[in-house]
Amino acid sequence: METSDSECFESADEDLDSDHEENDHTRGKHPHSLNPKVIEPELCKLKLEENKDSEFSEISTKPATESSPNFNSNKTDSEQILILNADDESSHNLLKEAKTSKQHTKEELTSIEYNNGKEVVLKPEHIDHSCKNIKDIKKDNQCKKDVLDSVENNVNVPESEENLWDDDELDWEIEGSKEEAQRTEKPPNLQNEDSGWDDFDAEWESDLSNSVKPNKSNLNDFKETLDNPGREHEQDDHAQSSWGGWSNWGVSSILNTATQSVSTITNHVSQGLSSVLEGSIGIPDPEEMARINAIKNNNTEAQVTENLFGLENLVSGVSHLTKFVESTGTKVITGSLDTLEAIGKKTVEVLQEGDPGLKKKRALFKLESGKPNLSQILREAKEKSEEESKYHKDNDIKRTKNYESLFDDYQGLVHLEALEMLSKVCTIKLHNSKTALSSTELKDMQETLEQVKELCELPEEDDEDKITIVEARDAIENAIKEINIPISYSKLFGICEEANSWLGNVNFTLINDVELHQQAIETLAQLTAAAVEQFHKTGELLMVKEHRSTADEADSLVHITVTLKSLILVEASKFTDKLRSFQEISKCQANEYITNIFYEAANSGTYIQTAFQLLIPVLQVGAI
Amino acid sequence: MSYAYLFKYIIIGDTGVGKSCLLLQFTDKRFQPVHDLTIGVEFGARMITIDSKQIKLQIWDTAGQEAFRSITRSYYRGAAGALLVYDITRRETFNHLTTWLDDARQHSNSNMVIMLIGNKSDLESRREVKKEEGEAFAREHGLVFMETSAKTAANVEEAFINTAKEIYEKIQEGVFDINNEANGIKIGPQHSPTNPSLPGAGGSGGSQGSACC
Repeated sequence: METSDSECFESADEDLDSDHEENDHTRGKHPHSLNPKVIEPELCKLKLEENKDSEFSEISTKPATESSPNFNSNKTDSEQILILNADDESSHNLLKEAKTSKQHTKEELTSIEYNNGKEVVLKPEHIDHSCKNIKDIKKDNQCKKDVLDSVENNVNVPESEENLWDDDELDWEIEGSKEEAQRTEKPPNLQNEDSGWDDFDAEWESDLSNSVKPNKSNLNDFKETLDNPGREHEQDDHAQSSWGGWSNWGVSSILNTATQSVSTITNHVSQGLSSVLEGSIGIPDPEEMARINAIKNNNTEAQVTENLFGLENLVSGVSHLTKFVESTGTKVITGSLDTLEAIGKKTVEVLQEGDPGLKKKRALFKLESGKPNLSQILREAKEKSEEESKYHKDNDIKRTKNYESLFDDYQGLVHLEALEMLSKVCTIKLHNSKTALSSTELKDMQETLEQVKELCELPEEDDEDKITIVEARDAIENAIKEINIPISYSKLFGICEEANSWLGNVNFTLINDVELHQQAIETLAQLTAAAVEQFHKTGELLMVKEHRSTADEADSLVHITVTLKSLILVEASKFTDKLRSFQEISKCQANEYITNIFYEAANSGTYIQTAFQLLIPVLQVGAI
Repeated sequence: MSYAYLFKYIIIGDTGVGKSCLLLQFTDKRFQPVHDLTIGVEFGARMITIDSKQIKLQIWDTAGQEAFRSITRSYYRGAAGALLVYDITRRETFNHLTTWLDDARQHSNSNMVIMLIGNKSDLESRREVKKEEGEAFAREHGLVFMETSAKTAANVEEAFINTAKEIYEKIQEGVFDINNEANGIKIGPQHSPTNPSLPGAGGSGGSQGSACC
């Protein structure tokens, strides 16, 4: 069956252009045939009202053109998600087909019965499967050209609906096992789809934390789709109307089984979302995926349907109903579906309403209780070493200070703390503006934020370029021109010069290695504090700057950061060189000091880099 | 250098009332008649002694310019004390006090001690705001009040130290939870248990170890 299907499908593709009419008719049959289920005809009806005839040719063409010829290659389990997501898409097509069929008033009982045998028992959750089967059936029918005339099966449908409503209720019980089976069959997918919303949140919050979760792909797809509203317009329409449909089913399943409620809705919603996307980004055609999936699921469904043989008869009997029943039934069903749709929409609305709030709270919570701030860690480190030094220093004549204390003394710590506050304010600002955005705007914004982050990526460290003070000064002056705010690194270069002249004039007979080491640490702490101070000022000035140009700002800051980091290393090595030459004169533990100086220089580089990264939200605020 | 407590102060008020000069007078005991406009926030720190305890005042001197208002507001958080400064020679700086006060109360903790300061008391001839008006405003809003001169240093020490005393009393009374840093109070090194698991602590330990060999 599988092979023949695909062959037929392919041939159908080839015939498409010449065979438009035929295709329409052929397709038209299937929904009915397959469709013992109430919902599809109903939705078809809705569709009918929405879509005008003018869309017909496009509708019939689209699925075929989208399918790629080699569907057989797409069968791995790993693609399950895509397949499931694709179901929505196929159901859209199905709806279109149903609409087509409605125009034909002949009955095509053969195909109905044929399909009913399989599909009678379908539940909302199984619509996707029925969709897949539709494809199969459609193809079968395409092969048999004798069934070209489409059916007025709408008569059957409403009626079967009526009956099936009750049956459905009963089936809920009967089908429990099947549902269980299916659920267990695809737990990873469900998991993924459910957590899709959480990932969405997580993504919103991930400005600072770079933790990228695996399930973001759906959302990214979503964003991409939204980016091309024009192109996707048609699909969006379908998606929206089908949302209602899906939500209705989600609601009815809530009513029946409270436990599946949220996951069902989420499931459907996310399926709806992803199906919109997939069509748009040229990922394997949903129809085709659905078809493949249907083949996979055939065995399971066959087993289940065996138990429900009685229903099959019922449904085939139903297909003989009159037009009178059709119109009455339709009205009733339309009414009830409207109600369900209203409930469904409301439910989704409520869920979406609640969610942003939660997101906000979670985000704020995260901001408050997140990882400890660098300034906090430094402060505690400083305090600890101060305490230690109290015990050790009693016998020392000269009081030495550790790096963290010095960094605090030069107000590096407090500038860092203030910068952290600014960064946090900007993060909250970004977050708040996100919650107010529509999904399209949000998507644009996320992209912008991501772009800013990319602009702020520091290049790989290159140890080779030993920068001189003059070069560093030039580089930083150029960068300041680019960023166009009145910051000044003259204080920092003053410290460098002071250190250099100290080193040039140092008299080895008057000082010892302890003092040399202390001077090195002090210079490093002072340089780092000055750098952090300028990063803090940069943040403040950027926040009040009138005309922002994020790209220039980011570029400038990257240059400054890189320059400062290499400058720190150069300064550190000047001291270590001195220590080495000092070591030759007097045997001492210079190695230990040298290691420590490089250790603190690396720390300095880290603080500078941290300060720079704290500015990223400030840049991002300017970019939106 | 070690201290029992660290108090975070903020200095707020209209531009040009002498906030930076007050700070400079307090930390450096000097006066600078022409001062650059403060960008965002500047910092000063000084050690004082209250009740024979060393207390480090860490002062956040904010920019008074309207442009920086939204930025400086974000620094209010976690301040234990605030000096709300106006210029006795400029009535409008006094008129704006309510706005500043609302801002401060809104963006900081409710226990923050606020000291109202009428600065430039040396310029008696140009006075526009009577001392009684300042006192009345302070009484009405539950503030401590003082007139100072950053130029002559009159009352400058007292302004900072009295604020610290008030905070210290609140600590003694248990109003301030000193373990909550959002209150703007940090306990000094000798009071706080050390946390050896912190990454920074290891670094400093290393530095210390090598320095004392």
